Amino acid sequence: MEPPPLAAPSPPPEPFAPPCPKCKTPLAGIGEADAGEGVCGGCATIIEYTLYPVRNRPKPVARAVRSVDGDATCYFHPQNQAVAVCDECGRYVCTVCELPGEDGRRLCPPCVSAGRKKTKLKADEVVVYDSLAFTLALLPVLFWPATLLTAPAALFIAIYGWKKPRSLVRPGAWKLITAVVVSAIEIGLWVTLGLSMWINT
Amino acid sequence: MARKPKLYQKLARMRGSVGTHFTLWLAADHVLQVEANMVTERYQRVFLRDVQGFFMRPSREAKWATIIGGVLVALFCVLALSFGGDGAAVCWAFAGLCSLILLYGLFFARNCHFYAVTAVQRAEWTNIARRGKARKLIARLDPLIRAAQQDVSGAP
Repeated sequence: MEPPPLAAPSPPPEPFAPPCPKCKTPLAGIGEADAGEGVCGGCATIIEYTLYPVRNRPKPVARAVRSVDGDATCYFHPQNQAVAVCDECGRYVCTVCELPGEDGRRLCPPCVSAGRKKTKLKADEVVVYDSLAFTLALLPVLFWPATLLTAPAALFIAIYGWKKPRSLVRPGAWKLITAVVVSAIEIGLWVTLGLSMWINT
Repeated sequence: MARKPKLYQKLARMRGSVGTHFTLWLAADHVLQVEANMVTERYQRVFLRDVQGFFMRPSREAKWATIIGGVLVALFCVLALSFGGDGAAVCWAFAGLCSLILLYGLFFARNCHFYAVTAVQRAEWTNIARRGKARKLIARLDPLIRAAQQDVSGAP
């Protein structure tokens, strides 16, 4: 009886070789030291680097489980066991196809692509109504006739954006309050000017 | 009423072009780059536990600004010394204006591009434009990153 075949030895981990920031050529030979200088073999750029322990962490790979008879299977990979249901379209998806959506949702790849095309704003983008209202209220003062249009616009945007999500890093309300006060003063001045002209005619 | 604690502290000064500017902020476990215009803000996060390394490559902007500023200043100084009277005063005035270009090249122009690299992204931190500032930033983030990556397996 023949002995069972030996298991193939696992391949050695790949050396850390990030792409050059300029020409994308893999920077070989820089993973040994934690800091130093290297020269890119592609574009001869001198790269100064500082490295951290996580560079040697093996990359995790999502591995799907093969399905057996009776298992629900992935819509895109019939040979893989389904592990989730897409929250958008209801298709079964395997480990490889399961993608995170906003608010903890689980989506399939076509629904993620469709979601990106629908919204004009990207997931990591936010409209900052406070900055917009602040700029519209203050900047046109340099050319004051423009405030006839920008003051009402600033006031509307400030009121509309009052409850909307604000900047992550500067979430304070002072810009909105300033925009409301300044635009109200500007509108008041225009109304006063209009009334005085009408009275004098 | 107690004020909410600030989640972010500023890491680097604002830098950018007309209409768009970049700022860099530090939270407890990540660095946030904000690209802002008048209407929107876009965020790019790099988590400290994911940082594989920082990379810096040179930029020629500072070199060219210094060379051009220096040549113009020298040229106008020579002209000012050659002329007399009002001509010299005008040349000295232009030399003074061109010295602003020279100062910009020496102290403010970009002399490096700075990148934070993780396993899945390479983030260029646009407002880290000077080598000295980059080294100070690395010195500030280094202990935080090493603390966040203390339990990483596979470390040498």
